[in-house]
Amino acid sequence: MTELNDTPALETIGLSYKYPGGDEILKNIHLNVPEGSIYGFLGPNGAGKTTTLKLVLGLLKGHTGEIRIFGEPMPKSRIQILQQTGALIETPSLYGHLTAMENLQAMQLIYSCNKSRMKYVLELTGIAYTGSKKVSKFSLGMKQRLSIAMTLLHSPKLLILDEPVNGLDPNGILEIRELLQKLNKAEGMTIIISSHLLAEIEKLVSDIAIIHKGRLQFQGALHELMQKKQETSAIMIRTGNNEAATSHLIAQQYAAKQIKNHITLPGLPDKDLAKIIHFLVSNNIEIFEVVQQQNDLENIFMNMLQEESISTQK
Amino acid sequence: MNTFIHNFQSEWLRKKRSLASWLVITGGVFMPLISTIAALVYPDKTIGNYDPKMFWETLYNNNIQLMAFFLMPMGVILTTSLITQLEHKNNTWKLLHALPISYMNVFFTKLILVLIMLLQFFIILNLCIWLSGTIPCLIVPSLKYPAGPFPWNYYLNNSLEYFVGLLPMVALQYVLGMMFKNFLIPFGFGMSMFVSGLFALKWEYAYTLPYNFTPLHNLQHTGADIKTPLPLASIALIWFVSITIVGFLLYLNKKDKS
Repeated sequence: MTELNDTPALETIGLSYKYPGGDEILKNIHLNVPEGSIYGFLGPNGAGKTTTLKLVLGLLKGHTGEIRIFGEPMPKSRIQILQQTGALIETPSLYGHLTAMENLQAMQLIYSCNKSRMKYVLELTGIAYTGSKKVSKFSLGMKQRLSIAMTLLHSPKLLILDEPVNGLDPNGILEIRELLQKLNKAEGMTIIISSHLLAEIEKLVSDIAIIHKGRLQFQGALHELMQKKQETSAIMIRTGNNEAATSHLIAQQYAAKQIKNHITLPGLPDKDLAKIIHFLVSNNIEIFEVVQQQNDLENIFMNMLQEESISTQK
Repeated sequence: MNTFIHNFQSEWLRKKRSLASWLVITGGVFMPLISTIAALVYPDKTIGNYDPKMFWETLYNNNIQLMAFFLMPMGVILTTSLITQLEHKNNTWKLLHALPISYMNVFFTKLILVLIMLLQFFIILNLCIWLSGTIPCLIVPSLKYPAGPFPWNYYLNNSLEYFVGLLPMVALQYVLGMMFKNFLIPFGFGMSMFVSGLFALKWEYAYTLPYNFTPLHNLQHTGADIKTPLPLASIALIWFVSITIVGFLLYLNKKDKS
């Protein structure tokens, strides 16, 4: 396991960008990607994820603010930074008239890394069987795997993957997720993964940022987001006498509300929920149904966007 | 220096099996093959008719004339545009620009690749011209293999003149190919420059047009009186260096390298 230090793997300070003659695409983005983390970069299409990642890699010019990777400024230390970075941006960039191995060899020559890495990354991403098949004949999923293999060729310290599971089947998604977790744990690789597939990010990342319309809506550890999840979740209880049950719960200082044929309560820890059920039963109230509304990342994300929209309207 | 060599090796691999690499081979073989067939079918009307003392020189000129006026410029326009198109088509500019190599390396290594391919074309062409004279002499009993020494210098000097004459075209096509994703822009621009250049061949300042150097060299070589302030090769080199520098600055300052 690589030893970690306090310098973030990636840091942007007040990063803003606008296309010449166009609107501002990114507004004052402060990203802080801890070294050794799997950092989810979430946002709907057009939010500014790819633009941010392109700026980070020096593919776009003309930004304001600072970009630092492992403490080194981009683009000033561009080559030094790119030596320790692997990147997959948007659609796969592959030479269709070459085989998978030839594509890797073209990169291996530039990275000057050990030739044995080519076979290793092909096996790691599960496409070692492709042999002399040209890449133009690959499915999108196979191309995506090869692109990931190419990013891993030189054992980078930082891996930037923009929507890497696009085009993969559910099994492929699972395999890539396991692979990224393995790389993160075994090699201490910092991974930035952008996506609009929120459910995928939730299962993979340790840290997360949410971007919308070029603004950062949230940044922090996943557990902070999970806490927010609990805060915004709700419990629904259907009883034999909702009116009496609501009165009892209000008397016990619970924020219970009777809505139609059920009672709703804000999210509670499991132990508190068990106490409520026991309390209602001991008061001879029949309980027909208890539902904990699982407010997943998608809902939190939508809530954030709604909050943002309301505050903009105000 | 090592990174330049490694990137060149990578470039060489990346053009493998591409249309551009096939064009270099077919371009070099095409005219000599036609000459060979013509010599086999009509030996007395073709190489059998050559002055034995000037056999190889005549063979070279007969092969190269059509090439200098049409096939070489068209081949360069097509090949150079196809090499840059390889990256556009495969969406790999962003991959190249996210590799730990300088922009200077990316720009000049690919340009050197095109120049080496052009050199490869001339080697194939010269070899095939020699074969187009040798094979019919070996097969057709009425033809005699020329007794005199092979004029290496003649072949080398002329090929070098044509090579240098093509450089401005290579540079301009390369820069356009890098800047525009749509293949039709560099190709269409190149073809229109080439055709308009042909119409302007009799103009006294025809040497100011970057696509005119190979036909002008051919005309000069075959005795036409073409006055130029400097040797044609020097003007071509000035064009090449100027276009390359301007092109590199444009590429360097391109805001979106993805």
